[in-house]
Amino acid sequence: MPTGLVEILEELKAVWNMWTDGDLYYFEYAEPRSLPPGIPPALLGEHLERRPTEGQTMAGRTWWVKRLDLIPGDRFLVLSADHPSPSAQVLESWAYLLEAHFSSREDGGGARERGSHHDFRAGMSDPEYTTEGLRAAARLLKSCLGASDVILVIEEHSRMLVEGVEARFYPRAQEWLESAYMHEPGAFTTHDAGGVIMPIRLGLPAGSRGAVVALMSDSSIPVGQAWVSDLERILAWGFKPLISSQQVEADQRLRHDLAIAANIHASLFPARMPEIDGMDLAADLIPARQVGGDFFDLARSSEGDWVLAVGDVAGKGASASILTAVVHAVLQCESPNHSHPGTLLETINARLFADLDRAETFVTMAVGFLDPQRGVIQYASAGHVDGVLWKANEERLHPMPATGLPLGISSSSTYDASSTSFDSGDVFLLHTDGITESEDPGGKLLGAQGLTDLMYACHLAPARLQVDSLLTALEVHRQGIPQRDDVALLLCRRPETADEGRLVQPFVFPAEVSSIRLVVDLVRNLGALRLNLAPEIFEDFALALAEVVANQIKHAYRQQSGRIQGRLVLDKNTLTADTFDYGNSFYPVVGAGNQLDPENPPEGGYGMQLIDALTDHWDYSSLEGGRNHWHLIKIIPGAVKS
Amino acid sequence: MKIEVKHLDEGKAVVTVSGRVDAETAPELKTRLKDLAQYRILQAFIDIAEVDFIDSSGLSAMVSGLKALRKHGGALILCGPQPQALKALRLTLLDRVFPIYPTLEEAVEQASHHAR
Repeated sequence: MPTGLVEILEELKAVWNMWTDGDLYYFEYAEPRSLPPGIPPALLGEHLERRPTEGQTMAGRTWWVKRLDLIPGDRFLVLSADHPSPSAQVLESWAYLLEAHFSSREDGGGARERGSHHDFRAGMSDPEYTTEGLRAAARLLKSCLGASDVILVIEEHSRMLVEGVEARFYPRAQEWLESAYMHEPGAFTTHDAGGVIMPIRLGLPAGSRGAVVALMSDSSIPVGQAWVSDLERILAWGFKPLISSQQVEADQRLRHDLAIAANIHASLFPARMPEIDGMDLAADLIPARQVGGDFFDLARSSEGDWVLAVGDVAGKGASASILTAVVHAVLQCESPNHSHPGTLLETINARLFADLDRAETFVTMAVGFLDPQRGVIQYASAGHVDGVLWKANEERLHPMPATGLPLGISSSSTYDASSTSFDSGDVFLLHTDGITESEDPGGKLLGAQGLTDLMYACHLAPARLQVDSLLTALEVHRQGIPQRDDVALLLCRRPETADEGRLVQPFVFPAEVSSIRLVVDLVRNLGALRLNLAPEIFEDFALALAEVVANQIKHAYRQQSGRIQGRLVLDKNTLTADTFDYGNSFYPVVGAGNQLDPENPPEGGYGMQLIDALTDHWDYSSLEGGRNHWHLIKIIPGAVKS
Repeated sequence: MKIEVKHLDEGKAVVTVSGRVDAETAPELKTRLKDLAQYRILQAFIDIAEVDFIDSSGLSAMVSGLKALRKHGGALILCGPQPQALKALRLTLLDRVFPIYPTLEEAVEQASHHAR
């Protein structure tokens, strides 16, 4: 039976570790040159590490931190003993500790990635279950520790919510949160247990679901074997065991195998895009987990056409990944025998059918045969999400629907193919549903409309920039929630003569006031690339665009989260900006500026006046589907030669 | 954006603003300027020589500050605007509302001259 403090902590650590693969910190402070009562100096010397170099002296007190040697993971139990029991200080200490902890993590770089949180997440079937486990552990600690404070941090929609801070500590808690972390102002709500809930954005590693922090107000810790075993019971109920001692070895082996699989998966597909005469090509693959079932591929047909393919093996993780290797092999092997994407898909289906049928899965795949000389794309799709063709002369996007069943559904599937011209300025995009089905925290999909608007914003840009913009847009759309689906995309643009001397900068920003800075930078950077033009052109335009974006944030989104996207285009004669939002529509009114009364100037409304004065043309339109579009033009003064 | 407030004697204060005054930072400027009214500052010199970007929310913040000061007969004087700020002031006609001086020194000197 553990009696000493350290023994109890060790025991607690063992239990916590068995179920949560987490960290445990013991933390305490003392007045300078005095020790907390109840802890013999010898114990401090032996078990606590004094680290004054790391800024452990705070508010006139000296702090000791002991990190019990645990595997880096995503769960921590922080125990804090202090004396007497100033709870505000307790909160302070906790903030300090977490900060120190996370900043050292950040510094560790790779260590954060290597953490076992991926495995932890994989082992959790139901996030609510975890939350309940944490709540129960917090309740237990609270009852065991009597008057102590127990703080529970749980994850909800990727935000860390601090629960159970008692209302009387609330102002102080708010204070330290403000100083230590970002939180959302005004988002504090009352918890039904009488505490408050504060959303905070801690730098917790991805996949973390929370932490329980027990703050002991008395150093004579009133705990013993009884509550350690209670904790064990609760954790056993709330958590699925991650790594039991017998499993450790098997788990390590699996992790090793998965890493190898991820490497193989990555190496199967083209690492670099080939140079295709007269074409501009880019692709990317972002698996949601270590290995995934989405892929893109390139090959040559019997006629020398480029075979561009994107596909999705149903299912996720390792099993899907293994099948992508098989599809890759068959595609590479069969492409040189075909001049038509329909017959290629028929052959691949026939060859894979038995395997897929046995594995009870299927594959969707879209294939384009690109003839760069003639400027023609032949297209066929086995049940894949619509490809996209942006036609420059129509300023319009054409969806390219499936032309047959997914591979592995029927042994005798046939596939039609369409043939379409691929002219200067056109863009051909193959992608997987991870793009259009990407969800924001409210469950709203990016959707086909979102993709269309993105393509409108991007299509003038080089292929790589377009791919990067699409990926950025997904990140902005998710607003920090983890990527759930794999994403693969392959994009081909046919350059046009108008590209010469034209600079295109697509952009996607979250609708937050901090984005305004980025908008201004973007315009200024464009100016830095055209030093022959007067900087004033770009300064004027930066202000006009900043006003538009501020308008979108304040009026369209009314400070709610959202996405602002568009493009800047600088050509010989004009600097233009297009920007879209999905917020409320707006009635732009330019105030009668020249009637300004110097004795009583209005405290607002100057934005529209500036937009109007700083551009040569602007218009605003409310489009169908709840979108809004701003269009700004500044004419480059004619005297300038480029 | 950074703001520094220095109180001079005789109801004067110098507010040195630097960086960008945009929708993100303007609310703070507005608060700080309105605070000056509590000290019954009569002449607030706003030194914006180091402001390289100001937008309409920044202009609005200064108008709010001016209005707060005017309640007790105070004034808000802009010093050292860069071309970007000057243009924004001119286009919104706010150059008719604020006294504007090329430098802080000139503004302070002019003000003490008038006082005499």
